[in-house]
Amino acid sequence: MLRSASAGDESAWRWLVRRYAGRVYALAKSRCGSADVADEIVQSVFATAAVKLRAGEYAERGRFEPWLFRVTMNRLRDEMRRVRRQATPTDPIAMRDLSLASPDARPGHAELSSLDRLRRALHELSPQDREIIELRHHGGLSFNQLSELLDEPLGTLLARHHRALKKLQAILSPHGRDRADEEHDS
Amino acid sequence: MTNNTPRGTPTPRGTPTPADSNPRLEPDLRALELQLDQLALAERDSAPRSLILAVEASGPDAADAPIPIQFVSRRSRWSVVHAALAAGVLVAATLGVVWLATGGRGSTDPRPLQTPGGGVAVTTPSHAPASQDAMLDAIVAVIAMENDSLASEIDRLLSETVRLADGLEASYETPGLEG
Repeated sequence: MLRSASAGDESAWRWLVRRYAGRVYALAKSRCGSADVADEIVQSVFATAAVKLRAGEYAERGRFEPWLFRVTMNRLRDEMRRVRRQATPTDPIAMRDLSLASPDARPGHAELSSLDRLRRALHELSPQDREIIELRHHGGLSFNQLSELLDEPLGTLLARHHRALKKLQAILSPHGRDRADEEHDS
Repeated sequence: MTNNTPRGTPTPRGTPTPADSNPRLEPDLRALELQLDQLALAERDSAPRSLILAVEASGPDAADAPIPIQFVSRRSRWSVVHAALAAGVLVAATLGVVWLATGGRGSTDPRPLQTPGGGVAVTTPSHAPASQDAMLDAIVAVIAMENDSLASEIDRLLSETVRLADGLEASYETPGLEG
C-alpha cells in the first residue's frame, strides 16, 4: 500500500489517511488540548509523509507506524516549545484553550461525564506517564512499536504503562490527587 | 499493505483489542485500559471530516501541490480577519481626514458656474495635496507589512478612485472656454 501510495495511487493514499489520520489527530489533541493545533499537526505530519513518499525517501521498511508517530511527536514537541515561547497569547482561540486548562474553570466533579473525568485525570499525570498512555491508547501503538519508537526495552515499557495506569486510577479515585502523590513519592 | 508489525507482535492497535493488552494488568486496571480505549476512539471520531478530506487531497500524486496542504487554519483565519479589520479602519479614517481637509462634501467636485458676463466657467478641482498622497502611500505600506494581497487590493482600489476622479474632472471641463 505504501509502494502504491508512493507511486501516486490515490486510493492507496486515501487508505493510509483514513487508517492513520484519526489516530494522529487523537494523539495530538490529547497532548496539546486544542482541536485547532491538532488540525495543524495532522496536516503537517501527512504533508511530511507525502513529501517523503513522493521523493522515495521513506526507507523505514515495515516500520511505517512508529515512523509516522515519531514525526507526530517531533511536531508536538515543536508546537509545545512554540507555545512556551509565547508567554501571553492574544489569539481568542488560544485564550479559550487556556481558560479551559485553568483549574478555576473546571466544572464540578459531578457535572463531568466519565470520559471527561478521564481526560482531565490524564492531564494530571506527569509528562512521561501521559506519553506512554497517549501513545498506547490514542496513537494505538502496540508495545513492540512503542519499544521501537521510544527506544526502550519491552519490559520497561510494560512496567511504565502499568505504573501510569495505577497513578491514573489513583487520580480518578475519590481522594485522587493525594493518593497519586503518595504513589509518586513511594 | 506491507506488514508493518514486527514479528511476534499482537494485533496492531489501530482498533483496540483485549488480546494486545498489557499482561501485567490487574482486572481493575484492565477496565481502566478499556475506558482509555473508548476515550481514544471518541477523540479519533472527533477529527473533522474537512480535515480528513483536505489531507486526502494532498497525496504524493497531487502534482506539485503546495505543502502544507491548502487549508487555512482557524487561527490563521483570525489573523486575516484582524488584518482586514485594521486595514478597513485605517482606510475609513484616512478618507475621513481627506474629506475634512478638503472642507466637506462637494468642495472638490468641479462645478460649472455662471460668470457675471454670462459665460460658463469651471471651477478647477484641486488634486489632493502631496501630503495626503504621502499619507495614503504610508498606510498602504503599513498594510503591506501585514498582508501583501490586501495591500495590493487597496492600492488597486485607490488607483481606480483616482482614475474615476480624473474622468469626472475631464467631463466637467468646457472646451469652448479654454483660452
